Amino acid sequence: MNSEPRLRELLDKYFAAETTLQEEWELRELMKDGHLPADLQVFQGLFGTLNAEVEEKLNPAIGNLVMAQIEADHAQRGKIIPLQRGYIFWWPRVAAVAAILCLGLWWMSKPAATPENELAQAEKVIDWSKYEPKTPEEAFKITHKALKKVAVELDKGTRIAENMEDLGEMGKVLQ
Amino acid sequence: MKKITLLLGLFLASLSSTMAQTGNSSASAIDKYFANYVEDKRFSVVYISPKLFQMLGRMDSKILDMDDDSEAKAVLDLAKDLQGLRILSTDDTPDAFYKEAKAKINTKEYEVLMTVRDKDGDNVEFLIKETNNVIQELLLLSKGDDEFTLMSFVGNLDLNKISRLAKEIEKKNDD
Repeated sequence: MNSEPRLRELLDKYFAAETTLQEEWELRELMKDGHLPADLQVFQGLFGTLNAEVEEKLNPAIGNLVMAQIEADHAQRGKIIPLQRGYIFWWPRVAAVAAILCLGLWWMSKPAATPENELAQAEKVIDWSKYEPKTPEEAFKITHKALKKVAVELDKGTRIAENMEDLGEMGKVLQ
Repeated sequence: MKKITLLLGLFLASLSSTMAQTGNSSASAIDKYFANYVEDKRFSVVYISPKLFQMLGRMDSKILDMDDDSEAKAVLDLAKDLQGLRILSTDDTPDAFYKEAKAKINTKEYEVLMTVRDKDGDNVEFLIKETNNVIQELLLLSKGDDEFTLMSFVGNLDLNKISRLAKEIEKKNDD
């Protein structure tokens, strides 16, 4: 059977990178033919090399040699102890859990940063009791005087602001 | 095992010391300012404790020696919401102490409510610390020719109640 047209067709497909694996196998088989035209014989070398590479197999003796070398190395280094996970890794876990627990407890017990709490903290440092009035009546007089100053000054500030607003309104009218 | 216990112990000790430091550092700048001058002989110091304010809250304005009941009522109404009052005042270099207090107050912590300046050169500044639109602390810094005063009112302060007190004072002055 003249396989030359098929061979040429497959070669064209091969160099156009359109062949399937099956067609490449067929091409290699057809190239083995000893009576190919001269223009096709030049490709025999290429496909001959490919065939040789495909057929080349690892010598099983090499695998045995490598294994023998590994075993010899292990024998020289001594006994291999597998990792004892339970011994090596348990304490960082315990420390991490303890840290999380401590942080959680601290967060829960942390007083909110309100002015009342800050006042309580300041009281611990300073003995304020030395500066307290002796009677509620005296405390009332001082509180009254202090609040009066606050009320009078705030009122004064509000009046000034109102007057300025009025002046602003006057300015607008004049414009 | 001993190493692990030691590590955990060290960790917990460092954690507790960090917690203690955090606790101390939460005292506000104004607390530090009070702490600096509370023992200073140039300053007069007054402190009204939460307990005294509780006692004031239970007092009747008639028990107190007040000519004007409505003003006393307005003061008591404000006082029952207070939890602490600290006053520092000095006649020694008022201008310098006023400037120093203003420089030491953390503007991130306190917000300026109002500044009132007289033609005579008297300055009054109100600063507030708010949480959820409720005034939790009111600071009053006042500087005259002959006196510097710093007042810190801690508690829920209602500006409407302060305004009511101002009206009562004005009414009394008109009479």
